[in-house]
Amino acid sequence: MSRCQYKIENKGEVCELKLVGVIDDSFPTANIQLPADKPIEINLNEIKMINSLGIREWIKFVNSVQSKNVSIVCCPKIFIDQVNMVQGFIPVEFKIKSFYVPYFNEDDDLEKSILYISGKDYGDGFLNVKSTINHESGAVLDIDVMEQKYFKFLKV
Amino acid sequence: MIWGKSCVLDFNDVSSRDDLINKALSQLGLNADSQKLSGICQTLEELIMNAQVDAKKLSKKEVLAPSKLILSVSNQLIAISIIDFYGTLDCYKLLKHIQAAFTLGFDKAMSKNSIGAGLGSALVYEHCDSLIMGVIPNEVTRVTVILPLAVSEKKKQFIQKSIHIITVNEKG
Repeated sequence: MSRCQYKIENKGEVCELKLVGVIDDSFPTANIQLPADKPIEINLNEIKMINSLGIREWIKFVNSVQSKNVSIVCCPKIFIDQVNMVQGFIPVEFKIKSFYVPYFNEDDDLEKSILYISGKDYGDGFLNVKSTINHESGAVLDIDVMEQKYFKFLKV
Repeated sequence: MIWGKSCVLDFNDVSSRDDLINKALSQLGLNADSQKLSGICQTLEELIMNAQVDAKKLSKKEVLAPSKLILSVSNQLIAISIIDFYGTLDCYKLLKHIQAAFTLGFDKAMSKNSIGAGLGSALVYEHCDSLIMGVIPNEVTRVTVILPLAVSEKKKQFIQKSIHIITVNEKG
């Protein structure tokens, strides 16, 4: 049984693929049938982990997608780390429409992830990085990535 | 170094890695869903998978003794040890994989056809503070990884990483 569950749903013009769990060698590449003639949105909000075999399976999967209009939303940090580290992890024509940026307060051991959205927080030639955010407790959380490394994929 | 809480869990080649990781972290009072633990979870996944799949595949003998996962935490460090009784780890091959990933790039270092992707050791190295590999051929392999815990990414950049190999040849 695959550690990655998936759900395909048509949302008007767009076909949404929702992935949940762990991307590893059990990733169901062959079972996921996506239309070639519709825009595809891949939602990664509930992806918990990608292992080394999952990196290879993911690359096989994205290269099997035939639609020319593919966007990825709600990318967790673990996914963005691979995008930055592994060339070809996503094909150049795929668009990352939103991704999470982690924030952390080391003294209070508090963390929170903020969703950066294309067109609002970043886009062609711009990136608005929030260096700190406020936690519900009142504590200030600092951005918890090396900015040059983490935002490298945006090429801004 | 003074270590605080520890836990020891046995596992075999069919144990669920999700269950094992969740159980080990919860015994130490850590939340596997925490964003800050994603690197630690990825390291655990790679190390357990290595003992479950690669060690067994490379061994010529049948091993009945379960492998062991040992976790210890101190204030800002976590030590993960995996012990298997196959003794098949090739430390120098692992070093080559790490070197290839960080010099050629992960995509070029990735094996396209073999059972393993050849990236696991590089992923572990990416997250670690220290990586210690010990092997007695055909008897036992122990891999220990020390990682920062609850430390900001900016501080992690200043870590001087190290790799240690402890091995004996078949004549002892």
